[in-house]
Amino acid sequence: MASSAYSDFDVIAQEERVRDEIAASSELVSDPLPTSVLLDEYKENKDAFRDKLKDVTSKYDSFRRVRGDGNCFYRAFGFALLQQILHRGTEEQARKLYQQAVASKALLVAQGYTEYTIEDFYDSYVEVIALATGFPKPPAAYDYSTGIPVPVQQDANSEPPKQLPWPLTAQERALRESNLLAIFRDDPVASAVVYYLRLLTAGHFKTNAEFFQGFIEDGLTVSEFCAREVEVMARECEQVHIVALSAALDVPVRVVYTDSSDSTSQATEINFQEEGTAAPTVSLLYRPGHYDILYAR
Amino acid sequence: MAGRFTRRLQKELLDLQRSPPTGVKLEDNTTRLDQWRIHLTGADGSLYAGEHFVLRFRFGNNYPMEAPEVVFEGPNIPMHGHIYSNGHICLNVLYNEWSPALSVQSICLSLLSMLSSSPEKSWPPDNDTYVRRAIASPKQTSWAFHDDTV
Repeated sequence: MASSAYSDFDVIAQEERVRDEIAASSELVSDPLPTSVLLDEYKENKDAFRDKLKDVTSKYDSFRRVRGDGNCFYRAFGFALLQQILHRGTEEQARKLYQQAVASKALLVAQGYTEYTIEDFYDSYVEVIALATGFPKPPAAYDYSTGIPVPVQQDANSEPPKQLPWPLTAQERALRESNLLAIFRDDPVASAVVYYLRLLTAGHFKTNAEFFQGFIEDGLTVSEFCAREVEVMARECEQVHIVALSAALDVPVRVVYTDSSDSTSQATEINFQEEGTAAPTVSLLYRPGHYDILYAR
Repeated sequence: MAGRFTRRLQKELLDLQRSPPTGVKLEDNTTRLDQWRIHLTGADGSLYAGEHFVLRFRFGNNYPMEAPEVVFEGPNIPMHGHIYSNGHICLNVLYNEWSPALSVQSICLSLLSMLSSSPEKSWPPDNDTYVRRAIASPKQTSWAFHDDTV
């Protein structure tokens, strides 16, 4: 038998207010801030949490806040990854990241996703990868009115992305980084990129279902888990999601964990996909329930 | 987002016109992109075999990042343990488990399958209370999903 429960208008209105307040009070990705800001933020805390933050400030000098809307891991990962590629990546890493982006839609379709439901997200993702790496957007798209592949229409006003040589000049890096930041702050496109990272995560779970089944609780299959916990926007991530996304893109991720447990006064660092080759290491700060981007000293 | 929203819905519209799944038919005179009516026919061998139902889809500007609003409409609302007599549907993918990778077509198929697996024709136990208090859009309801097996 089915049953349902429902709440009154005021509860819903309250939830909407909280959501709107979060949206209004924080950028999707902030400018870099010194990590000492974190110490000020928690100056009333006398517990191990503050000790761990002190430990963080000794190793990382700045961070960027990422909006706490349930997508923060994916958003932080996406921006930090492309920034790492721009600043410390090699030509080979840029090419690898680009090639796997271009190949990814066909892989997802092979796993059962409907092409027209994922391709707008794919386009946004490839666009942002092309912007960072300087490789051109792939030449073919699919025309649904005729059912045949067609060349992508080039926007006459936009200059084609600058090709190599790699490494980039400081000026070119700065230009691309400011364009990237603009995209990651522009919500419709930024959400599409974040959503595609969710799809890539889900795709990796499904291709390696046998391996991941052991990590999934509540008797769910890997597909059911993806439908509930990965493919839904604003669903928060757990460590297993980080394992999957870092492996999917072969990108090393370091998460610096801070909490108030007093077993240690040092922040715990966990490295995912330690030997990843597609980019330099992406560092993230974890405070309970939230991820931000960290920059090493 | 307007361009993106339009592009996605046009693809879905074409797909439904061109290769509709069995039991799913887009209303012929669909002119608005933001509101569609879709006719469902109960599957053979189910309690609803041959019955016709009308679904109304409404798409907000954030579709597909946000779920469409989907309700049954008209004189024939399927009598089912997850469907209220005012047409509101208790199905998680329409609310808290909506995924932008789902589509109008996949929702229609989920609903047909929900009808097909129903062992009896009856309204939800709290139908009277719900219908009396329900607000216009089911998306404003805070649903609790107890049982996926019916």
